[in-house]
Amino acid sequence: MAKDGSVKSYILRRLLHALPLLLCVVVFNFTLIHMAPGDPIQSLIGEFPAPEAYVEAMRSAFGLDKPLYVQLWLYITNILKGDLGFSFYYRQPVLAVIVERVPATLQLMIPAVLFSALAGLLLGIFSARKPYSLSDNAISSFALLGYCLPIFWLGQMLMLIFSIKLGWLPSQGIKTLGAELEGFKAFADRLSHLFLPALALSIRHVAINVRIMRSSMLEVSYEDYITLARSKGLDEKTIVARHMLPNALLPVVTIIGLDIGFLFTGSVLVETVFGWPGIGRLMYESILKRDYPVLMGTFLITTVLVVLTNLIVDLIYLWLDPRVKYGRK
Amino acid sequence: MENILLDVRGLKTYFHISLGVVRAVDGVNLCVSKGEAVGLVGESGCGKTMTAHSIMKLVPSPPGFIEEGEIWFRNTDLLRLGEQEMRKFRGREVSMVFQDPMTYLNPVMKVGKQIAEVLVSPTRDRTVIKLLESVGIPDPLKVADQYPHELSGGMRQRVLIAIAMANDPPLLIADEPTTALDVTIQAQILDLIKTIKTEKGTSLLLITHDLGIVAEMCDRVYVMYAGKIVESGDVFSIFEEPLHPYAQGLLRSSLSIAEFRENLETIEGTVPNLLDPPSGCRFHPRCPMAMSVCKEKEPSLIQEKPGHEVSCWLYEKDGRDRNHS
Repeated sequence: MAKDGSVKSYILRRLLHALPLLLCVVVFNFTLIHMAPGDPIQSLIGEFPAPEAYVEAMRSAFGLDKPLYVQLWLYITNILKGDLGFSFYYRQPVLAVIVERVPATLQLMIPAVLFSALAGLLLGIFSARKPYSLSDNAISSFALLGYCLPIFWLGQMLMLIFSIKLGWLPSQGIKTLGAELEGFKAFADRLSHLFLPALALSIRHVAINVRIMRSSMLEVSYEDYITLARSKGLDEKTIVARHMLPNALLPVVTIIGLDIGFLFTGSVLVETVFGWPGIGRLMYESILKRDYPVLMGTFLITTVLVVLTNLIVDLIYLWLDPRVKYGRK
Repeated sequence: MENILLDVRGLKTYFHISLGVVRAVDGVNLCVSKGEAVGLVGESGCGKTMTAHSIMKLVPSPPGFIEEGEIWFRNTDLLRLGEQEMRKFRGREVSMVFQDPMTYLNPVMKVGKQIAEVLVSPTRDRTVIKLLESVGIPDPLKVADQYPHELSGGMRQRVLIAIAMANDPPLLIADEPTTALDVTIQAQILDLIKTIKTEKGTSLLLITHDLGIVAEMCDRVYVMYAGKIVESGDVFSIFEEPLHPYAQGLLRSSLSIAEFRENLETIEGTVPNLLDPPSGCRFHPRCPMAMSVCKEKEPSLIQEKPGHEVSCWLYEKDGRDRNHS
């Protein structure tokens, strides 16, 4: 089939379409950040009374004395060269600062996405099996609660209960500092650090996925082809697994894809609460420090990641639903 | 009678919704003999489809419940079977062809697989292709590997028939099998069902609102109105001399007869709301011959001629005595 060829050209076209989007995001972020109150040089120097000449020298060293549109132009042309700028605070290229943080963020996000998808789907399917039953109502109430709880509050509560009161799990960081662990012990140590932040980050998304999966399963259960499946004399398990699930998954996959963007937002809060050395905390710290280049860099990287995950979701869709065909007719 | 394959007695299927109880099927009796083709006709919403779904025990529950009655299939009352035992009947003893071929196939599953999963026999692949061939699908190997959206409506209906006939069931229920299809395709599908019936000796319960189809396909016919059977008999007898005013109206408004007339005749009004059906005979608000008794009491099914039953006050002795209002 010519399907593969059209998929390739589809991916290419999608990536090309992403370019103007990314440009808009860059311009928007740049303008917004530079319009916000606060002065990076002032926040670098702090309370210390510095001579005016020194401040001016710093300003011109970072190019902050140039008019805004010139700065924007320089920024965009540098990005095209693969240069995301130089951090005021870390005194390092922005790209290096961010790249260093990426593994930690992935280590938090990937388990959170997987957990929220898996738990959401399973609970949703279970919930839809007997609508309005006790178990369905219990799961739905949990979902409502999980959706409403603010992440930072939930994170702190989890920490308070499981780390401080019960002492079961560590409260801060990605691993035990200073401990030279190897093999399984190192893995277990990372896992114990991961548990609470990943839970805090995923609860809300578990809740969303449960609700979507439940209603999607219920909707599908009234479809005519389910009546046909029943008229064939198939048993309930086969009907759910073979006929309902593949159809009910379609909208859920879309939601999970969209959620990844929101997970980044959540990770800013979770990483800050749990002292997780990822992009989220870098973003938060850069705001406090007025480290514009790093801030814009993190925004740009997250935008790129969201665009890519959405593309991946659309490709998964292609695989799940034979009716979907991308590419030119 | 030993010859009887399906015997439905006093079937009542109600839907419990927030507004009240919808009596979709309200005391239906019908039977189908071995090798017989029986038509069930009536307007949309008169309970034909729900009768068929009740026989298969496919009524969505809640809100629907089979409240009363017996459905004898050979020597088994299907209504007494548990879900697990009932599954062995579906697709093997009784199969169904549905109204809309566009929505009854799983959109994300290949056609061949959808046929294969109903088969009991072990040589699956060969039988799927054979089945597709037997329902007149050209290039069955290719079609088995396609998804439903790649097929036309007529082809999909053929696939649905292949699924229904996969295990050679003794009884086939066809619920408006041609309503959603083009006229030319309709004839082809009816021919196919007819061929299957004669070749395999399958009994047929054909649900339709099209009297032309009944005349062509069926031996006997039941006329249904507002959840009840109002007339039954062999096709010739009913077409020649319909007794119930509703059946008479249906025949008059049937297109093949009306073609020769200037105006298409209709039955005034619409099917009553089954939440609150009319008192007495349910047809009386629309009946040109309604009498005062029709409003008060429900007529029973009486045998007017051998094998021809009707439920109407016009034919009851004491009904006629009370005369027109």
